[in-house]
Amino acid sequence: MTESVKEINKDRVREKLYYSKLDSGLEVFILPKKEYSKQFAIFATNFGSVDIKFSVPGEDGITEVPAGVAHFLEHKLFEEEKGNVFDRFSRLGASANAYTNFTSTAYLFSSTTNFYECLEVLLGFVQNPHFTDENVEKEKGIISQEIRMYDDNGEWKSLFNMLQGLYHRHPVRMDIAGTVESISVIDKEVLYKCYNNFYHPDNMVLFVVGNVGVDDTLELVAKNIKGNLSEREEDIKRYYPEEPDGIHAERIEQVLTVSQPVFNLGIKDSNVGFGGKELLRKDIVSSILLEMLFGKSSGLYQKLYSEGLINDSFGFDFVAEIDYSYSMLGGESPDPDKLFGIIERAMEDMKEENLQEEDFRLARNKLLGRYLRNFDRLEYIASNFVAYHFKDANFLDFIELLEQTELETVRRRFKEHIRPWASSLSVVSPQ
Amino acid sequence: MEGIYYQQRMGEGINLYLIREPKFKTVSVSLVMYRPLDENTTGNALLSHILKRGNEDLKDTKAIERFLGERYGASLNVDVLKKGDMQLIYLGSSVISDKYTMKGEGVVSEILDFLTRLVQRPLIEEGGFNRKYFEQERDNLEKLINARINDKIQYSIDRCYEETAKGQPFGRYRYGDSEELGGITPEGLAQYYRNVLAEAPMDIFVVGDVDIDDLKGFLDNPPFIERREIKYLGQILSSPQGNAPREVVELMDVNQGKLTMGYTTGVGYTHGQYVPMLVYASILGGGAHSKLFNNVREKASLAYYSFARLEKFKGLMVIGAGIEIANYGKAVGIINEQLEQMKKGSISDSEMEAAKKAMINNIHSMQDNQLQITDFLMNRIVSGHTMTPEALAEKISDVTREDVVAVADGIKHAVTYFLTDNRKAGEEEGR
Repeated sequence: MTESVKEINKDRVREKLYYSKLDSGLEVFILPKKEYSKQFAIFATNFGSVDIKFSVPGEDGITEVPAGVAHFLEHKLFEEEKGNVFDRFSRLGASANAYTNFTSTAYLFSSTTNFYECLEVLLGFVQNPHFTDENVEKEKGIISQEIRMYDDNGEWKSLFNMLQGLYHRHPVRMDIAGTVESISVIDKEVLYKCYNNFYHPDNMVLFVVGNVGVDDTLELVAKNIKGNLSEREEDIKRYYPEEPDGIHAERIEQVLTVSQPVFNLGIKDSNVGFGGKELLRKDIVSSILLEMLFGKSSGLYQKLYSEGLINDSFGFDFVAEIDYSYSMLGGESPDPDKLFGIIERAMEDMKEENLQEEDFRLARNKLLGRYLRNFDRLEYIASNFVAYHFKDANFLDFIELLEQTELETVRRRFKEHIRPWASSLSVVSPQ
Repeated sequence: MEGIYYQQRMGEGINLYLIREPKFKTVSVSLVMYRPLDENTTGNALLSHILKRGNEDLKDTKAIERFLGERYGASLNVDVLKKGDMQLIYLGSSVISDKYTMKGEGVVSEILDFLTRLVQRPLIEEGGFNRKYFEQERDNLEKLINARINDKIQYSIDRCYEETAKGQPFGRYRYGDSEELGGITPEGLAQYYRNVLAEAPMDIFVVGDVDIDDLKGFLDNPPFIERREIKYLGQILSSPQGNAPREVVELMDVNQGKLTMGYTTGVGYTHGQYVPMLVYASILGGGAHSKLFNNVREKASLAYYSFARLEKFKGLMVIGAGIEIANYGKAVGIINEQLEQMKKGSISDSEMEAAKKAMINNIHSMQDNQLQITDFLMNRIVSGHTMTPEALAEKISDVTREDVVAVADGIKHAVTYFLTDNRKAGEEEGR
């Protein structure tokens, strides 16, 4: 084994994780799972839709770019001087894809043969942009159709409207793909500017999981990461507008072709500004809390379900990013306002003593089961690992932190986070 | 999945299949009952929703959630599936493997027992299903059926199939028809359910790190279900509709038009040309390597998505694309051109290879996903084909261009379905 490789034992999940950092600053993680047929690799940059105002290390001044650039760049990287990258993966029998979310852009493939060749293609195309006036223009038609597709999606619209209700200024309130208008001004210069800044290896991570060899993978990576770049001394600075504690709007409504109202209810979290283990811990504690308050065995769920105010589409989630964070409930409801009223009242009436040991234990079990269940899916491990990595946390610490969590912490979190006045309702209603 | 590790007949027409896969940390358990799509389709959908509310042992959601929570947060999913002319009542759970429990206690056997008892010991009082559950789930089902318009892509695919198989059982929606709900009573449904229990073929699938000894608790003492003569079901292929393709236009307030074209292929699972048909569909529209993706999206920039998909039980195919409404004529033209190319055999070596490799990659990847393994087995049972995944992969690699061209001839256009904008209906161009 190469000397620079660190072996990290994760006993609770019975996995071994291998880690190495190259001179260029690229961090590489390998999680071998030899019994799997598949190999899965994800090469990601810490550059998402919220990163539209930033500094370039070594340069003065602040750069601002149009909404939707990160996603646009993702589309364009697949294009090469001769043909497109999909064809090369296809020839190798692998399937490639990519996604952009608020905080990152990721390129990935899944293979069952030719893994090392595929990895070479992945590293190669992400490091070799080819933007021309013509191919940038052409992409606008495709992305416009992608935006239009989401314009007809009630759940998607409801979610983004909720974010607009929660946030006054933070760019999380804008659509990941931008708007048809904002992308119309994107040109190849803007794309190259963002590319050169954010696609530097020191701002990226490679995560590989599945039926792979550690040494062979690392050797190939070392050979295929451009040698002319070394880790920059300064970090990229990202500028987000100052965000008030309170919400922007209590209620936002939009009309679309849906059968019954679709809603999202958000609760803004003001305890933000940190990453690392503490963030993962906050995520876990908050998830237990939501499970206790709104999970299927909770009194509130029973009441809402039996009154017909929610159905099987009901769900909830906690979103924990370094610079913003919120709880969210969502689903379909014949009367979202009545539902909101009941939940608001429950939040006001609820005391921390109402959070009981027995329910706490069940909620924690549930999270454990869900985590292990997802651990059987390589894609899930990979995308979550990358997401937490950019928040300076290790997704494989989840079980350990979960088991350390105590009811007292959840009660404290309840007092801190469950604030009716910080909640906002979004409704997409039928004509 | 090299094969079925263990199979046991548990009663007349009841089989248990165990697929032992040590790589998984969780175990997936599924129980299905097979029904024909007929006048009871809405009732079957309602049944599945009522069964999950409780049984004689665990009388409400709270009790069930507690039971599942104690078993490391095992999940419970209940639904109906549609496979060709059949509707499957499906109950599934995912639970952590006994090897990951705190004290090595056996939870898998308990979950099997739990699912079986949900089916075997329903909450029937005075000859009818519990009235409260019945009424709530009837209302929920009504909303669920109406909610089908929310996902415009899936809706337009379903509608296109329905138009293609108009008047046949397959033309029924998976969850039935909300207008039939009024005719269903707690008593009538309970009476009908007794028949289902007595005569429906039933299968249980267990996929995960499970030894047969782990199931001893369940197998030694299986719940008794009284069986009559079992009603085994078959599939009927859709035949071509002779006359010129029909156009169906549906109006809704939408931003993007959904163009969906339906075809009969004459080739089902057990047909001699089944494997070439799979390759045909993959070349035409099975991903980023396909003609539709490259011509409708990459070259013409008309759509974000464009695909071809088979209904393998019925011998049908749909082509879909989300387009600007004014581009209808252009998109239909490009799609027809691709079908023509297929017929003429103008398929490059690299298209041929890419399609086959993509399919083989999918088959191998399937073995890393418990639900896909279960689905593959169910499809085998429902269709009567007996191929193992390995055999299927081998046959795919043997397919020649001539084989593909030979199936192209049998493909007959039946319906063009277009979901388009109410507001712009008058000003449409290109039609």
